[in-house]
Order: sequence, then structure tokens, then C-alpha cells
Amino acid sequence: MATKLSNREATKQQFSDGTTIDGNRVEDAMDEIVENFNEIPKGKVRSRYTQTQIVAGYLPQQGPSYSASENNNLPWMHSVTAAGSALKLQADAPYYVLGSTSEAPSDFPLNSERYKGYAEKEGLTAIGATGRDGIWIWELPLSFSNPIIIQDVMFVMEGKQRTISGYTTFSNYFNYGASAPPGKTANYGADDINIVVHVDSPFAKEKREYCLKEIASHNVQNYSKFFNRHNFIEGGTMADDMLPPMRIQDSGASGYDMGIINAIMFRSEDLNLPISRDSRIRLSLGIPNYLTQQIYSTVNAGAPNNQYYSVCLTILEEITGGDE
Amino acid sequence: MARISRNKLPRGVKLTIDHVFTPLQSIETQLQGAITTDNLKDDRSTFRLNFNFPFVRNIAKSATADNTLMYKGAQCIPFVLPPLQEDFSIDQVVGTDLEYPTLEELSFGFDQRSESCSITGPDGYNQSANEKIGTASETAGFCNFANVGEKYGLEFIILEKNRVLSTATVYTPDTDYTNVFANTEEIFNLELPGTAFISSTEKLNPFNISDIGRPFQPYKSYLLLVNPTSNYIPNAFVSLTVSLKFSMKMMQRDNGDDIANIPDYWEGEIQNATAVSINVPAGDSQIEADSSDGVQANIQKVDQVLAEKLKGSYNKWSHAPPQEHLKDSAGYEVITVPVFGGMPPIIGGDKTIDSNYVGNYADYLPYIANAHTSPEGDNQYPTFDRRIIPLVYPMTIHHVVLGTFVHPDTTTSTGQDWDIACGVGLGTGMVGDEYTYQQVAYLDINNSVTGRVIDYFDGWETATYYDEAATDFASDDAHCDLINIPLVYDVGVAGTQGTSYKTTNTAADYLTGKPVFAGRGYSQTKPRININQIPGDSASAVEPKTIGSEQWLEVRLKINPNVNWSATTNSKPIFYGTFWVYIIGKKHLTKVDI
Repeated sequence: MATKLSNREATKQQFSDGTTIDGNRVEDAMDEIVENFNEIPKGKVRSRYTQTQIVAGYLPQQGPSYSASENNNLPWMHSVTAAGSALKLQADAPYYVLGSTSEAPSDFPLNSERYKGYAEKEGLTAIGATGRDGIWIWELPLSFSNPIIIQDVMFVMEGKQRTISGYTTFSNYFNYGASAPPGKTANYGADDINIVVHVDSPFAKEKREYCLKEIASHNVQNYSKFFNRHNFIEGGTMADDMLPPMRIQDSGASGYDMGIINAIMFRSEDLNLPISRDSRIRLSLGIPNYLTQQIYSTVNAGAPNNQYYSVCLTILEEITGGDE
Repeated sequence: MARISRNKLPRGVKLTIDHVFTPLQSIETQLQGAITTDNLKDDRSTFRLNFNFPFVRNIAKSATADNTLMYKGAQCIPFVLPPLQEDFSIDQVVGTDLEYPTLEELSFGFDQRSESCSITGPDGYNQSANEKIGTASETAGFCNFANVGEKYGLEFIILEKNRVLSTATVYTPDTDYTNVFANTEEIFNLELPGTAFISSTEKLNPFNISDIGRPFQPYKSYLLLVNPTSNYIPNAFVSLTVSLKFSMKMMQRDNGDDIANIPDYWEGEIQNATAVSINVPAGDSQIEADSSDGVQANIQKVDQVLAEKLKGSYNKWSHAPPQEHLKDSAGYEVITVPVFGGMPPIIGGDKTIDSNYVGNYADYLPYIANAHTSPEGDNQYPTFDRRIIPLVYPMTIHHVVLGTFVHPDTTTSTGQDWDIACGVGLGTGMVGDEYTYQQVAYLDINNSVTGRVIDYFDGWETATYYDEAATDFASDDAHCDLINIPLVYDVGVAGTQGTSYKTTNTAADYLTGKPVFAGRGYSQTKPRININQIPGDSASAVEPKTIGSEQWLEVRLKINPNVNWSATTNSKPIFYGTFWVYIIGKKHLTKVDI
């Protein structure tokens, strides 16, 4: 009878009819089996990852006295870096001045486009010194020493209109307004948002043009992403849905529940994107700089701070012996 | 002890059944849902504290004041890594088997526009006076090349301090309020000069430093300081994210009907795999290989299990496999949630202060009108922030802790004129027109937080560390508080009450609930164990409102004036930096699938 090989997972020793068997082989086999079972490597465990959720978000400052300066939209920054984006310190001027690059390095700008993969939109506002800074970008750079798996990316942007004493809070409806860009229809959901996850090139870490795009969602259709639009539009009210209730306590008849979600939610699930060790990844989101009236918003349509947002990046990391 | 032992087989000893089949039988026993970390070479799971800031600016008003002070202008983030409920000792007795989390890695990254520059922050700045001027900067977000190598340093410090058990009605960990650093030990420090961020070939941004190996103690309190060391006021670190990666030994998952909202079908019990049926030959029988009781035939049974890999833990639908080999399939987890991030120091009241920042009146907070003036400020509109976190994989929530950087005074029972309410809930109805919530944890901190303060870092003077004029703030001390947000429980049913920090001498003050399961479900995992609706519920537990279909965790924080905003007394600071909500519990091993 021919020797039939086993899986040889627990030991490499094989005992079959026609093979030898002696004390040494049995001893070696049992030694290996017991040793393997007392030190089971992670490769033998089917479920060997755990999740980590990186949560970010921002509630922009608002208010009657708050400057709505075009340039004060941090953490959002223009997509294009050019001469007009650089500053120098003038010795005899009380403030920084714009437009000079005399103190910038000779290779400035290192990356005139802050990342590759965003698309500028025809018909949307062009602003800034370059005349083409039509996109605001929010970026989350991260670094991992061990391999990870990107599993889920979520981005929720909430509008929550509230008018008090003449100012309105988070007024973005995420629809095109009366002066919709060419090819767009007024009051329809905007479709200009870009989400990109990219990894720096290991050979040219500071050159964004060599980045490897892992996720690229362009022209995201807001209409498919609305979260509780119905209640918002219909003016639905919600009682104490959860504590603490997000309700204006003494708003009277003119106010309504601020807890009602009026949002767009971008979600990419089950991505299973492996990222190699020592990678530098960047999660970026770009929104166009709409003209007032281009987007349905009661005030200051161009500012990216007309909504507040929650971001969550879910990754998987392998179990460890603590010695890696 | 789960490790397997065997009798050695030296030369000259007669081969008996014990030598081969006893170890195989031990393995068979282990494979029936009993494999613990004792059997695993890689027995630790990892978790991260991820701190994301919209932007970090040096909080100090000017660069001209005393720069010799340690940590001047730093953002301060308090945190704890408490034992989970089954290991928690309210008297803080550290048992010999209590596992410590170990700091393995620190990483960070910020948005530098991919240029070799610093980024100009949101505060207008007067170079001649070398201080902020109280207006919005017209150059925020621009590349700044002015002495960037010298002016864009960043330092990360972790301070450790003992938590002293208090027997008072209000937690008073120590009486030395003169210096926050007097009772702390600096256990970690990483300083990067601005030159680390100016290379055009490889900046240390983002960057990680691994293999740290620093154990953290479960009953101690920690303070992370993120310090822009340059003291160069106009600059900011935009979208700064700091990640502390820890490892900790894995553990058994929660089970039983006292875990609120857990799927009723298994209640978390391990689904023991069936025996592989090691067939032991009779004594003194002939040694054989391939017969049913042969050596190889029985080794093959073990081989087969290993070849198919060991199973255990939930999938993303909270469903455990029908055959589980692993007993220890859960790991420690902390989800760190920022709320009200990136704000400048905010004060209440109508006091005219030396305007150092853009928007440091309370009326720059959303949803409230001109808070510091009349008549618009004569209102009690609250302000809110919330975060939505998708439930990708199931977890159980054991503790919820709120970390603050200045909030209503904890040292007196009659503190500020505003209160803060913090809640955590489960939500279902994602991207739908209808949705609902199930409450998990909640605390309304009304004026004082009697009975709920875990610990605080207290006592550095506002005027000293942030260059505020002392007269600007009636309360001249800044402090970081750690506050326990109780889980839901029935006030009349001890079985629903869990274990957490003892914060006063009155047990009723620090009650919390048993762990709460949070995970998506489908038909089989939809029925759930009942849950109470609020901490201190007087009604019995009922079916969860999310009926086994929760999809996200929601964190809310509300700041509410108890009197008109314009009348809040003494213009006390509301906060200097972000509030952090820590959702602490167990996560579970998972595999990569769809």
C-alpha cells in the first residue's frame, strides 16, 4: 500500500503502513505536536484581526460675529498650491503679506496639486490667486508600522439650519440652488464631491503625483446619500430621541428640533484593502467652492463650513505576540 | 492551565498509549472551544487611542511671555484605561492576573499641504507686538515659509498620575492645586523639531515610532500633551491625528443574560466545537498507523482542524460560527470620539476680555445667538455637537468616560452656570428617512459632577500657561477632568448594575450598568436581551428600541446655560480644547470576508 501523505500540520513526521516507526520518530512527532499546540501561530487562526476605528469630526465655529473670511476655513484648505498660497514674513510689516515667494524654497511648490484624483468641476466657482482653486480639501494623513486592512470609510456631513438674530447655522442643503452650474438642474442633489484614499509612493514619498490611489469616488451623487431627508424637508419633529436631546429649549413655535439628522452619508463598506507595512496613507475629501446660489444654501454658500461632519476610518490589524 | 503536557519517550522506555494518545486527547479537549491565550503564540490584540484635531494652535496668547514654563500652550487630553467590568475592583486592588495594556507605537500626521512649510493658523497675528490680535486671519491655511525649521516643532508628552481613592462626597484626589505637574510623572516624550517637517524628499509627516513597550497601569490616570513647541503663535497643525497603539492579552467574550442587548440566541456563549474523536487503542495492542485507532489516523484528525484553521468569535452580524475552537477571542477596545474639537478657549458671560483669539465668546458656538450681549444673549439656547460612528463589527461597551479640558468646576458643588450633558446611544435607520436610538450611557452634569469624577489634573494657572490676563477669568485655574458616564441600569435591580470607578463614599452615587452589546444583527441575531432606557431607570428593562438592528454609535455633548448666556457669572472658561468621549469595552476577533 502506498504511503498516503497527511496534511502534516501538527508534525512533519508521517506514520503509514510501510514506513518505519521507532521511538525517536514518535518522540519527535509528539514533541512537535505538543509544541505546535502550545504556541499556535496566528496563521492557524481563521479570525485573527481586530478592528480599530479612527474617528474624526468638526463642528465649525459659527455666529454673528464670526468672520466668514474666505481664507478662514480650516481644516479645509485650497486644492492648489501656487505662488498666491505662499507667505513670507516682512521685517517691517505688522502682518504677513501675500503673494511673495521670496522666502520659499526653490522647489516650491513641491506639489501644485495637493493630491491626485480630485476633479475640478466645470462651471463651479474659481477663486484664489491662481484662478482655479475651485476645490476645498480636507485630509487625514496616517502612518502604520505594520500591515493593515482598510475595511470601511464613512463620511457624514450634516446641515442643520437654525436662524437666530439674522444668522443661519450649517445651512447646506446639499442641493443645487437656483443658479445651478451648466448641465445641472436646480434643486437636484449636487454631485461634485470627491473622496480619495491614497498611499504615498515608497520611492517618492513627497510627490503626490506618484501616490497610489486605493479608493477614488468621484462625482458622488448626493441624492443616493441623503440621510433622513424626508423628515428634514417635511419639518418633522422628534421628541427626546436620545439623551441629551438636541433641541433648542425655548425656541418656541419658530424653532424645531436640531437633533433631526439632515445629512449626506458616504459609506464604502467591505473594502478589504490591504496596506503594506510602513505605509503612509491619506484620506482626502474634496468639495467644490460653490458660488452663492449655485448650491441651495441660505448664506455663504461657498464656505465649506456650512455643515459639520463625522468621519470614521475602520481598519483591521492582526493579533500580535507583542514582539513585532 | 490550558497548555498541553506529555510524557517524554526516552530510549529504552516501552511505548505506551500515554505517550501518543494522552496528548492527542488533551488537544481534542482544547479544540472544543477551550483554546486560550496560553495556547496562542500571538496572544495579544491591539487597540488605539486616536486623537483627531481639526487643527491645533498654540493656545498661548503671545510668544513674548515666559517661555521657560514646561508645556506652555499645550493641548491637554486626559484618559484612563480601566479594567473591564469583570476585572474591575472598586477598591483598585491590582490582582496578579490583571492584564496591563502596553504602549507599542505612537504615530501622528497632519495636513501640511504637501509642502515644506508651516501652515498659518486661524488667529490674526500682530508680528510687531508678537501676539494675537483677536481677529480671523486672512491667511489661514496658507503656506508659511518664515523660519519654518525653527518655528514648527511638535512635542508629545504623556504624564502618569495615581488615582487616589476618595471617601468624600466630592472626589478630591489631592489638595495640591498649585502645579498640575507636581503629582505626575512624565513617562513618554517625543519631540520633533520643525526641521523634521521641511524635507522635500521625506518629511516625518505622517510618522510612527514603534516598539515602545511601555506598560500602562489600569487604575492610573494619564494626560497626553500635544505641544506646539515652537511657540510661534500664527502657525497651526491642521487635521492633526495622534494615534497611541496599545497591545493587550486577549480574553473571553462577554456572555450571559446580564449583558444588555446581547443576541438572545446564544447570549454570547461559546459554541463548543464537536470532539474530533480521538480513537484510543486498547492497552498492549499492536501499534498501527492507518487503522482507526492508529497513530497517523488520529494525528490526521488534529491535522485536519489545523488545516481548516481554528474558528471562533463573531462575524459582523454578531453571529458566532456553530463550531468554535477558540475560547479567548475578544480584545480590549477604546473608541476615542472628539466633540467640540478645534475650538479656541471659550468663555461664558458678557465680560469684556482681552481678545486674544478668534471667537472666544460663547456666541461663536453654534446654535446660540449673541451670547455675551443683550438682548440677543438673553437666552438659554444650548449648543450641541455629535459624532456618528458606524458599527462595522460587534463590541460590548463596559465603560464610557468623558475627558475634558476645563469644564464646570469640579472642586465645588456650586460651580459654573452651565451644565454639560453627555450621552452615547445606538442608532438604526442609517441613510433612511426614519431612524431611532437606544440609549447606552448618559450623564447630565448639572453645575457640579458630584459622584462622577474619576480623576482630574488640576491647578496650572490660566494666566501663566496661556498668557491670559488674570482678571479675564474669575476662575484662574485650568484643569482636565475624567468623568464616568454611567451605562443604563435599573435602579431597583442589582442584577442590572455593573462595576466601575468608586468615586465617592456613597455607592448610589457611582452606580453604572452591566456591559451593553452593540452589533448589527440579522434574523437569527435580531432578538436581544432586554435593556434599561436610562441610568437609574425605575422601570424594568425592555426590548431594545433598535430591535437588534443597530448600525451606528452616536455620541452627543450638549452645553446648556442655566441662566441667560449674557448673565453667566464671572465669565468662567467653558473649555480650552476638545472634549473626548472614550467608549471602552471588548471587541472581537474577525476575519476578512464580505
